[in-house]
Amino acid sequence: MIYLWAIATIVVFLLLKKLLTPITSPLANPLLWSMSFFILLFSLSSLDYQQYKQANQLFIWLLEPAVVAFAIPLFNQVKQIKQQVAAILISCSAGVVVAMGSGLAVAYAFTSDKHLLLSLLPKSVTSPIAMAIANQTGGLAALSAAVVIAVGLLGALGGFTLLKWCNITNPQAQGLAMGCSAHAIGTAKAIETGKEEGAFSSLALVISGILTAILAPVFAWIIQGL
Amino acid sequence: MMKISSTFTNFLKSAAIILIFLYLGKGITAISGLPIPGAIFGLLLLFLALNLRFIRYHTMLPASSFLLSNMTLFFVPVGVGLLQYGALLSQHWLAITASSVLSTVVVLLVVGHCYQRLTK
Repeated sequence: MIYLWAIATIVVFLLLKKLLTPITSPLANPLLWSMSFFILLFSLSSLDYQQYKQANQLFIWLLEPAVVAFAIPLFNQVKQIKQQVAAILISCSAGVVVAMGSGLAVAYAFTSDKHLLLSLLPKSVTSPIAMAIANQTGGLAALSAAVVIAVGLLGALGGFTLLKWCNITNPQAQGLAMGCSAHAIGTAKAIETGKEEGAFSSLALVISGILTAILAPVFAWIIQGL
Repeated sequence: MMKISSTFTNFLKSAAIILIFLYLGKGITAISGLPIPGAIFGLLLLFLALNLRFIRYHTMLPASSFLLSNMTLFFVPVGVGLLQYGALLSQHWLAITASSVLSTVVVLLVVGHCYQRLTK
C-alpha cells in the first residue's frame, strides 16, 4: 500500500512532463511543478509526509548509481575533454573560488551568523559533498542540503536561458557552467539538453566537487576570522 | 522471447557493473575518510575502466541510459524533502535567497565566459 506514494511520484511527474512539453518557457519544468505539487499537498492536507518519504526512498537510492553512470557520457566525450584539459581545469577552478567567494560576500551583507555562513559555503556542489563539508567546518548539514537542492533547481530552471542571453553558446562552456553552479540537478538538465552539454556538466560536477572539498577549509578559516 | 531475455540480461549486467563500482567507491570513501562521496569515486573508477578498455562502452548502455534519462524523476522526492526544512529556510530566507541567486548567476557566467574565451 505504502508504495502507492512512489507510483504517485511517477504518475504526477510523467503527466506534468507531457502537459508542459509544448511550453518553451524555462519555468515549464516538470521537476519544479511535481515537487511543488507534493509540497502543497502535504502542507495543505493532513496526509502523512513520512509515508511519502519512506515510499520514495527507492528514487533517492537510485541517485547514487546515476552519479556513477555519469562515467558513460563522460567517456563518450573523452576526445573533446582531452583536447581542452587546461581550459576545463582553469574554468572550474575559477568557478569554485567564485562560487564560495561571491556566496559568502553576499550572505555576509545580510548576516554575520557564522553557522549560517558556513552552511552556505558548499551550496554549489552535490549534496553528499556539501553535507560532508558542512559537518567538517561546523555548518549545519541539513541546512546545506536544503540550500544545495534550491540552488540546483535554480540552475536547472534558468541556467541555459541565462547563458544564451549572455552569448555563451558553446555547448561545452554551457555544460561546464551548469555542472559548476548546479551540480547533479543541473547535470540532469544538461544531459536532457545534449550529449556534449551532459558530458561537460558531469565533468564539472566532479572537478568542482573535489576542488570545493579541498578549498572549503580555507574559506571556513576566513569566516572564523570575520 | 530470446531477444527479450537477452535484453534483460544485458540490462542486469550493466546494472551490476554500476553497483560494483558504486560500492568500490564507497569503500574508498570509508578507508580514506575524505569528504568525497563514494559515488564520485565510483564514477572516476568506471571512467578509468572504460578508458583502459577493461569494460566496453556498449556493455554499459542499457542501465546507464535508464538511470540518466530518468534522473530528473529521481530528484522529485529530494525536492519534496525541502518541506522538512521550511522553518530553517524561512528563518534566514533573505540571506539564503540573495546569496544563492547572485552567486549562481555569477558562477554560470564566469565559468561559461572563461571557457569560451580560453578555447576560442
